[in-house]
Amino acid sequence: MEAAATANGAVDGAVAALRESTPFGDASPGLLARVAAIARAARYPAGARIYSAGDDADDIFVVVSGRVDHVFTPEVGAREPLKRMTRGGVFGWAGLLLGQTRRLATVTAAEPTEVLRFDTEALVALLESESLDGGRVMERFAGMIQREFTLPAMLSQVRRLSGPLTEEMSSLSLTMYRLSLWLKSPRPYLMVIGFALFLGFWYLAVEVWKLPRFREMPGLTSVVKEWVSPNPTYGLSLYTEEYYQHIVVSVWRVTKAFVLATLLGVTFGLLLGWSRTFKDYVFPVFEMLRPIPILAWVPLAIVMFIATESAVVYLAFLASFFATALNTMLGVESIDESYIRAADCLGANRRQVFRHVIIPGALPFIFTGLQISVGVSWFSLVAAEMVSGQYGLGYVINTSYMMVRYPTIIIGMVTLGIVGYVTSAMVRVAGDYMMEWRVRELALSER
Amino acid sequence: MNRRHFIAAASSIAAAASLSGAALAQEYGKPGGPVTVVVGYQPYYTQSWSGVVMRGKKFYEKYLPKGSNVEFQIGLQGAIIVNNMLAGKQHIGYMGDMPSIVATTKTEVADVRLVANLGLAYDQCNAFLVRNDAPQFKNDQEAIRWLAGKTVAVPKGSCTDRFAQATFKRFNIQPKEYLNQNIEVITSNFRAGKLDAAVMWQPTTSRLVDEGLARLVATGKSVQENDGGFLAMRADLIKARPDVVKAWLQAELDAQLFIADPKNAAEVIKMAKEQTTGFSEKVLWNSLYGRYPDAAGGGEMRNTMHYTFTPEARELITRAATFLHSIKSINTEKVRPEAIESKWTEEILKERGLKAPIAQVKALPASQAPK
Repeated sequence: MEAAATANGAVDGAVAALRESTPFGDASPGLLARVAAIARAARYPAGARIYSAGDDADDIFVVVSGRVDHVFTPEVGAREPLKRMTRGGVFGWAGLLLGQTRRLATVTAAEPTEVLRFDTEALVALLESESLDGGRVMERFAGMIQREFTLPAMLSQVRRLSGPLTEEMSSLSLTMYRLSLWLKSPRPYLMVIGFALFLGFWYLAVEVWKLPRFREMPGLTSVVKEWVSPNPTYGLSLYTEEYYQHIVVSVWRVTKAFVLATLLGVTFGLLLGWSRTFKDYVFPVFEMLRPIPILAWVPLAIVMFIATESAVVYLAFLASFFATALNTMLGVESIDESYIRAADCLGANRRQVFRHVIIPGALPFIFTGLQISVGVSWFSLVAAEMVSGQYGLGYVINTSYMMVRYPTIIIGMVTLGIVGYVTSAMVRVAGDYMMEWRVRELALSER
Repeated sequence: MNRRHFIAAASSIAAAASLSGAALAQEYGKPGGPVTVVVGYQPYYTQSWSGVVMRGKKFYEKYLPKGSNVEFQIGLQGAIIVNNMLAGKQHIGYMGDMPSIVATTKTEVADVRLVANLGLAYDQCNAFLVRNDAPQFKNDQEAIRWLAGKTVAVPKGSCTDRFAQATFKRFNIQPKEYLNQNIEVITSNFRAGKLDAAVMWQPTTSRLVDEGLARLVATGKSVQENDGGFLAMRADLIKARPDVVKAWLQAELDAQLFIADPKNAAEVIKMAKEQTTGFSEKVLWNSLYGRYPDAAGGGEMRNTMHYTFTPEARELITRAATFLHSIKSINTEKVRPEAIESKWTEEILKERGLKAPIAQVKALPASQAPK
């Protein structure tokens, strides 16, 4: 019993030390425990040589206490050959490098030092068994070797695990990885609780407690009953063909509006952010038009466009365009000047700077704008489809309001919300695909 | 869920519940005592202009208990008044036939009942307009037949929808497109030349004609399809304050008689002008006192004030309810009997020695129209 407690205490101590190291700092608790389990503790008195350059690169070390001096041989080409390490410092990693079997440095205990030793091959095998988490540890090793040990990039390439590294993972895998992280986090469960609270409150307030102002609202059960009824009282449910016709028409309209807003909004926003003169000419007019509500545009849209459908798409497009253009402009303005100067120094002309610095630099903002834009397009739809005269979810909501069909209003609203959410998610996936570097960054920071 | 999350969620629910509790249940006071009522009315629907007169002339002051407070709220369309009445924000409503009937069918939300008729007519709501460059028709029948294969718009679920569909059925014609648009969109579409025809209610009909955007070519008279307006009240008001119901209906009778008296035409139009925007006096006058050509469905009679629920008024309610049910606007084919409370108006007519219909608004000579 006592021996078990001692062993547990040792593992906890090893986990704590690992957590303070760069490669294992953000590894999952499960992986840390398994890594700690294969650790061997060792102590060195002050002045003891732990290993010398040219020795077999067998074990990896993590400092638990004390201090060591790590000195590279000059052939390695480290910018800073001497590195002093205290608790959490990691050395002896040469065995992880591609084609490297010998030590690259000499390590000496500068004071009485306690370390954890890991057999390199055993550690690699363990990391391979957890390909995603393990891959991240290996990437952190690579980053640490390059940054903290100032080794040239060519030399600091670590061995591959049998699974793909996140650098090589496809966008889909990264997205799936983020999904798995999300599922492991409390967020989805809080989300479910959030929905349950909302629906529960709706049900209780309207149908059970009958609170003032709430009791006049359509209840959850009456809405659900109408929605799933094969013979709906007000003519619209999951069983009616018309329901899907409304969805298809609205999706098609929003798609057209969104594509137009993206093409024009991104171009316009890039120009606004890129050219001071263009911005001076155009931005005041843009800002004056931006706050005008879509409803105010309805009569003009009818008169401006010959086809009714064009007026609807224009109204759904308008607010999207403003959101996209503004975000794109802010994206361009947010780019660090030093990138542009660096590109200039490397001889890039204005067009190349625009193509290789401005556009990719603004992408995160652009995609944030696009997600806002697709949402805005959906909420403009109710006003836009006033004009349509037939079909569309906005039309359903409008007509149901005028005909006082409360359950149908809610059905239209919820359907619009769901379809809007899906389209917004699709834009997010497209953004992830186009900005894999950013997804990787988010994945590594567990976001 | 940790404690902090739980507290946040619980606080949100408590806040929402307390906010909702802030809106108190309807409170009408005791019979004989002063009352506060909110009246929803439609100055943009000529047939319900007794509401305009009530507001302008304050006839209710003579009958309501001293110290009573009446607030008038404008509804651009009947549906807005229905929503407000169901929500308890308005207690008395002046509306066209369709929204009135819809209001009586939402008992799961609130019990609203019809207590008086505002009038029956053939051209207050039922008026076909065609684009200005449409052919010149010999008569209303030819104009209606021309609608086959054309683009026609109406505000769906309103009296215009019922009239249009009844007309199509009677003439066995099918428009190319039958669009649901509100009157503002229809107006813009006429301006843009995108519509062949629409059915509109007064006074917008007269405005479009006056502005040269459309021509009136047929009315309900062309197909003997009438329209109507009704006065609705919340059942909790009727139950709590029968004195107020009676007082209001006494005043309503005065208002209807006032409108029907040609001597008051100018004053009625002045009040309507004050309570609306965007309508000239001439347009407003045409909408109630003007005369449209007989060949376009015009006639001498512009509105007949039945006041109570005469067989004609009841027949219209039955017909309109059947129509609303057929388009799945309401969940019942018939209006429940208790939703039509005719005892109040019958009692008042008896007391005042009057018989329904109490008056008629007749078209006046064009020479009397405001310049």
